[in-house]
Amino acid sequence: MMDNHREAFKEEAHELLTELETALLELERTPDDDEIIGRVFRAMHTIKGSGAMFGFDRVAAFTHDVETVYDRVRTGKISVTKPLIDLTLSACDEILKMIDDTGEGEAEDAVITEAITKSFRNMLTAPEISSDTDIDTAPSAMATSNEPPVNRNEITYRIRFRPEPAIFATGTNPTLLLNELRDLGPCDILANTDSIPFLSDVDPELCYTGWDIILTTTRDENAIRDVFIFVEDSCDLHIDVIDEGRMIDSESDYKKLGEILVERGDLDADKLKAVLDGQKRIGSLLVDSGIVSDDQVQAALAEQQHIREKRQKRQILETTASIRVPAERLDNLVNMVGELVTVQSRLSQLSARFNDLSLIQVAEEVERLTAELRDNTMSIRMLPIGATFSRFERLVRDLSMDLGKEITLITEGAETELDKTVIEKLNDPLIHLIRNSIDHGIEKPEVRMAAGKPAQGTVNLSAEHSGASVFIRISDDGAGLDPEVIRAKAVEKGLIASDAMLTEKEIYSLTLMPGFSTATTITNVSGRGVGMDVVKKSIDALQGSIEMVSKKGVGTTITLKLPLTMAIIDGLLVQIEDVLYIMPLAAIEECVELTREDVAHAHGKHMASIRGEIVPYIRLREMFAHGGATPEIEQIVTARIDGNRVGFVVDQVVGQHQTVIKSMSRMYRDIEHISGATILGDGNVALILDLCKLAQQAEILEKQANQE
Amino acid sequence: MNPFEIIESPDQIHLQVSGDISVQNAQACLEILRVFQRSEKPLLLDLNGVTSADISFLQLICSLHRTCLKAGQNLTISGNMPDTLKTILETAGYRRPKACSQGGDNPCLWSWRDES
Repeated sequence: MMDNHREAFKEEAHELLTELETALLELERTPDDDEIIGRVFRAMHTIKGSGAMFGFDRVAAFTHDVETVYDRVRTGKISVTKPLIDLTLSACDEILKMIDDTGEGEAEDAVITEAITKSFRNMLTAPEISSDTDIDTAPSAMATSNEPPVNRNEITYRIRFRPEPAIFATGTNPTLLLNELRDLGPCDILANTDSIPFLSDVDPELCYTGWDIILTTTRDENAIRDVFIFVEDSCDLHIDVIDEGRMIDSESDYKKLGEILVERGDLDADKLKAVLDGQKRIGSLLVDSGIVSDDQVQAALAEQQHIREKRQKRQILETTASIRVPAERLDNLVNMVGELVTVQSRLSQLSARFNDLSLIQVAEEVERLTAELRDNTMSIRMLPIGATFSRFERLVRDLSMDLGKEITLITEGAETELDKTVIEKLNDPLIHLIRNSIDHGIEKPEVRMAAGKPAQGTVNLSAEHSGASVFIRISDDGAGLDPEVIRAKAVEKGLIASDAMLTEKEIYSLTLMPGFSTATTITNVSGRGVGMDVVKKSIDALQGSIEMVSKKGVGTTITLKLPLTMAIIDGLLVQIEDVLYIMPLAAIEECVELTREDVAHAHGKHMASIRGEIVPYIRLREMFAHGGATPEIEQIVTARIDGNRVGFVVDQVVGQHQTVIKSMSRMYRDIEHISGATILGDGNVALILDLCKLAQQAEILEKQANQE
Repeated sequence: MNPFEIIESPDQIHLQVSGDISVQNAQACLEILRVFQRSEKPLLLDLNGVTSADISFLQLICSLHRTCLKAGQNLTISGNMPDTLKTILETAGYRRPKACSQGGDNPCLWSWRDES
């Protein structure tokens, strides 16, 4: 059980550290922002407190000094400086290491943490803070802050404040006390003016007003009493808890008598309304009978209203609050939905075959529900890309410092949602691309200024949805790519022939080839020539594509086009002999017939004229070594791959198919042109084709054939 | 500058209150209110010039209102309630959904409609 809690703490701490890092980078830009300082302090406070609770004593002890420093920052005793931010970011890294502690490099880490702790303690120059005692008390102490204790729950208090009539003479202004209460939380304040006499009897220097206050706050009763500390002896003060912030017991809140009678059918709702309208309310009855004053009734009504609103808000909050679910369970759910999609597809096939109306109706209903369930399940897996983006702010900051460059990262579309698998796999490629932009793209300040650019370079990272795809763009206002240099390098490395005719786009795509690097010096940031082809491989694996646009001296934009999800895709079911294959529908443009005459006209070339355009095609029958006779009329399925139109020839196009992607076992991992498999409605397996890889392989085979 | 000024016309009596009104000038305020209330003409209270006020002033106006109600006099606040005063009334908890116990079926003098 404790392990579960420790795991939960680890997860929470990771999120907190990510938030903390973002807050620190914001604070660096706006060092006087109290709200951000508060966020940093609270994050450190939570990490320390929870760390101690779940046995992460090193984390708690280490964080204690950081928290203490930020407590001083909050009170304005220490100011936010760049060295402080640097130190805190290093502290975050160390906390992360401690949380994910594997026992490796412990001695080295201990030296670093000690150095950081020492630096933080040096900042605590105020005499009342002793650096000796701080560490010892850290794990258990939550009391380093001077704040009064804070309740986790919001509590609602009824406060009755009746100042003595002579209170004005002491210089007290009750309005200021009411304002202080408002600072503690939302208040409903009603002045009781019952005692104000007529003009003939009034003494203008006496206070005749009392107040009924309903206050909801996370603070305890002492915090409220503190407000009245200077008038304690000259007022009548009652503070009662009227709502403790827990969920209301639904049984005690059961329906009113009239509602039950209407519900049972014993009473008509209109008649009930008519009777109630003709009847005086309890408040009026009590006021009429002189038992309570109108002001007292109004104060009670205000209390009722305040509590009702609070409870309603709480109920909404509690019902809409999110819950944390292990990713594994989510994956299981997706797998089960996948199975369901398969079974549903089988049911649809069967119902069509039996042609039974009632069965068809049920099958259609199941199809509709399955589609809704699938969409809902997929939406649960969707995560905003913002968390990934915020990590790069730190990367840009640190790299620009290392390289002596001034770079700002601007992010857009952080709310764009993507499947969690895609987001996880996107991290490394994005790091490579941003590193490249910083290292090769953005010039040093002096170079930029000489070129008439601002000294500070900009890297723009944006994400946006477009249909079933997401576009992620990394652009910089750096030096841009030089097609001539790339071309020369590619010739030198034997990647292209010296007389090869290439478009600018094709030249840029050379940078995505293995072993290509134009950097003349190898830095620890990039330039080993392994980055871009790794990026290409990763994006291909995500069924995505890369496009590069660049202008020398102006900058480069790299666009990644990615599918929204990797779990279930829309596919096109095709057939060769009796074997079925799935092609991802997103890449497909159209299907056209290929007759024997068309083949004969091409004189052995695998080319077809489609709407006036010559499209090369790949005969999958040959590539997959299918035996049997070629049908009279085949089908060419055309797809757009890396900007080029390529055809894939199959025997027959069966139709569109909801494809639940199942990964292939390790044994088939080396088969590059198959990206997975799916189970069809009739229980058969269809392989999912990787069109991009197929095109590449066909190209290689053709080159080999030409050489022979 | 005198914060209290009475302007009498043939069909009504007008009391203009302006500036900072607090317990410091509460006695003067009471005296002028008594004079104002003694008129038999409809009473018109102009609070547009009030820049700040404390509880003592709010109490005195409440006292004036309930005295007028008892005497069957017509007391109204001229024009719209100034924003400064609205804030003061809300802060002090004087804004109420309905009249106080002395008000009977009459609306509270301090009531106003929120602009949507």
